[in-house]
Amino acid sequence: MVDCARIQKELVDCNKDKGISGISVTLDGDEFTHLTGTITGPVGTPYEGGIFQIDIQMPGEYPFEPPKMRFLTKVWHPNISSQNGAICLDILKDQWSPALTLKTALLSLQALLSAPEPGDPQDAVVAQQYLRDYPTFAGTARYWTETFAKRSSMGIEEKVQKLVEMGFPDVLVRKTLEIVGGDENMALEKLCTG
Amino acid sequence: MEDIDNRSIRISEARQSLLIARELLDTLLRLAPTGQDRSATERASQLLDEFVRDIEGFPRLQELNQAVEALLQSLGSRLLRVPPASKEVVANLPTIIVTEETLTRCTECAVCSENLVINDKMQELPCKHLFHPLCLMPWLDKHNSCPICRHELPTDNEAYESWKKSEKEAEKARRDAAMLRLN
Repeated sequence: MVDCARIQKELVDCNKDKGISGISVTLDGDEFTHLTGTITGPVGTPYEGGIFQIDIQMPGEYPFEPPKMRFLTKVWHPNISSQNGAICLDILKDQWSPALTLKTALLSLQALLSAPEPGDPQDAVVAQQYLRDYPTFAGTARYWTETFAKRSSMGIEEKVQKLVEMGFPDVLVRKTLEIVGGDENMALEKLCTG
Repeated sequence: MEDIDNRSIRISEARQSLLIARELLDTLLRLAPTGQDRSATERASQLLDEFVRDIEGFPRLQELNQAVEALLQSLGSRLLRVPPASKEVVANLPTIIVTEETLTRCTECAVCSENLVINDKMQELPCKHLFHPLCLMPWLDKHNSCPICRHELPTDNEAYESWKKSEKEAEKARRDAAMLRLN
């Protein structure tokens, strides 16, 4: 039986300061067994600007067993499977403690994005690239962030290009896209109405 | 001809992975804490030896490889898991009654995240962290550390305790050596 009272409290606590922490959790349906976490990519990393969704399954024994977490958003990182989002992090396995919470676990995932551990990889291909050719790794990670972790599936550069091809000046296109939060349809409307 | 080549490649690959398995089993055998683990490991080594001798006549190569891997994983995870806290130590943990003074150093139970209330009965670990008895017991049934600071309680597992002791001594020896170098 999941400890609903504690999870409810955790949800409130976590979402209270999501503007500052960049971390939030929502319930999937009415059950306390399935949740979705969201973390923002840390500044100064290839994940900057990305919004990453994490699937969270709460085991019946929670908080005595760790929550099962998996990235739903595709991410290029040595400790996260590029295939299925599985995460290699000790506190989600044998180093779990019932004093940890969904928020501290998601904060740890954010920290993992800042500080990969290629010596204990989940994705061997990514870890090898990280160790042998860091610039290529960073480029791929940035590209994946751009492609999969931005609010729209289309990258910002593609939108700019599309609107510039319609005859609008580059600087104006970028400014307008920024004002409307990256929505290219709204940007086009705004550009047309002047 | 090609078939024979493929077959010999498969066998040499298998031989390589079996050599690794062999080495792992030897390590596990040295570490095995109980007689039961020891005999399971020995049995696996024996099967492995028989198999390596008779490798070409064995029809279900992959199946055996998987079985060996599964055995290694289960043995490995069993050896790595820290045993639960000693039953006796847990039974003798002090229980305290929450007072005004208690609330100045602790306001909630970290497991259920409920606020402490005057006259609540709480269990106190040697590191002075407090938990409701019903919140602490399920954890100590399977683990031996404080949920907040990971302070370790003694266990009933002799092999683990002697390993921990030898780790402590090695750590002390390293520190002493470092001190000597500094002087």
